[in-house]
Amino acid sequence: MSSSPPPSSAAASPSCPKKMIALRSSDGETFEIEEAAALQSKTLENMIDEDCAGTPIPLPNVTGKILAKVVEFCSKHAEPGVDDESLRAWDAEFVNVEQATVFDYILAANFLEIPTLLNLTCNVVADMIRGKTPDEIRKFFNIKSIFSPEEEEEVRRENHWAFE
Amino acid sequence: MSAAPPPPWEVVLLVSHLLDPRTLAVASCVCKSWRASMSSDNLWKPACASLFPSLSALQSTDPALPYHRIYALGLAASRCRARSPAKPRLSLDDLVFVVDVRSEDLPITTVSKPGDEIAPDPNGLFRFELGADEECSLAMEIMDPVRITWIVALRGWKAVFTMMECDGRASFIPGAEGWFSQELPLAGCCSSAAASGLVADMKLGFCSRGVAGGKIRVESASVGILSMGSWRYASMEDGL
Repeated sequence: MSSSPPPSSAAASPSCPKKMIALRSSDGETFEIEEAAALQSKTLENMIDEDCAGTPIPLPNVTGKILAKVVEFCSKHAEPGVDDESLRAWDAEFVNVEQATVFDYILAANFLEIPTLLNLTCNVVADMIRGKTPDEIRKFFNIKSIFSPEEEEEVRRENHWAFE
Repeated sequence: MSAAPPPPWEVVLLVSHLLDPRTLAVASCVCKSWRASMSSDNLWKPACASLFPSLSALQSTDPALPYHRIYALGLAASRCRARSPAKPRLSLDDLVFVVDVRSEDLPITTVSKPGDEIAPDPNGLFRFELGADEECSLAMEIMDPVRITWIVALRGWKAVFTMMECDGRASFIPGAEGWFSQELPLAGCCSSAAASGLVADMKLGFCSRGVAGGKIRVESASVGILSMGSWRYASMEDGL
């Protein structure tokens, strides 16, 4: 990311560098993102239309650590001339992270309304769930089952067809 | 190393939209909050609408019925219809048919025929002529009370099933036949409140040949299973 301050004037001529948008994370870190990349987020798109001053857009729901990665994702997906296959491979690497980080990506993608990121990350988790038994799911995600024995039996009975 | 925290509920909710019905149902069993998320009507409604469109009517009759249960009902119903009845596990050769006629505790006649000696009905129906040995049949007074029993036994006497046992009167018209029938219980362990619609049927032929004093003898017996709805004999397969 370029370290030069964002331009104060709104208009940008074709020969000027691309317009950069400034974002501020919940923990006070500032990031810059090209406008084209930022437009992948519907949330940012709405904010950019409204805001002309160029002050950093505060994103209280997203930490610096995650925001950095989100900016990276959006920039990559805004890059021209990347073929589908290498993009897919890049995406696979991008989500090859800890469970907790994937969850954070999901929440950020949801908040910022980035359909590509949301779809990618949710599918990662969906794949983790598909084909597992309830017990395996619990172990994988470290979930405690707080069913009472009666509830457990009831839900099993309701859904017995899925186990056949 | 501390264990990873479980997925936040928003994540569960967002991911649930990508899951197919079967995975949703399995996931409902994970824990209370997952059950709530995975049972949400808006997740199940599209699947119900596309697979079981007519069942959506159930929802209007009972608004409290959640779509995930409508889905389960639809699935069970379609499985039931798709399942063709199991092939009978018996063959006629495995069976022995026994017909017993007695009057006031006196045995009149007993006919016992192993399955392989019985000629099958030419139309493939579950209906057989058993024949009776006139010579061995004791004579009865016309209109004597009789008790008839039809038993089917498995070869080797492994099991016995009483098809019918009922009381009647010996027909008084020589050469005519006496009809007896009794409703059969349902196969399997269904509730006794439902009728099977099947009836065991027996026809005894009486004759007065060679008997003095107006008495009659049993000359033939034939047995079968009738369907009450159509008053037709059941096919061999159905009977078995």
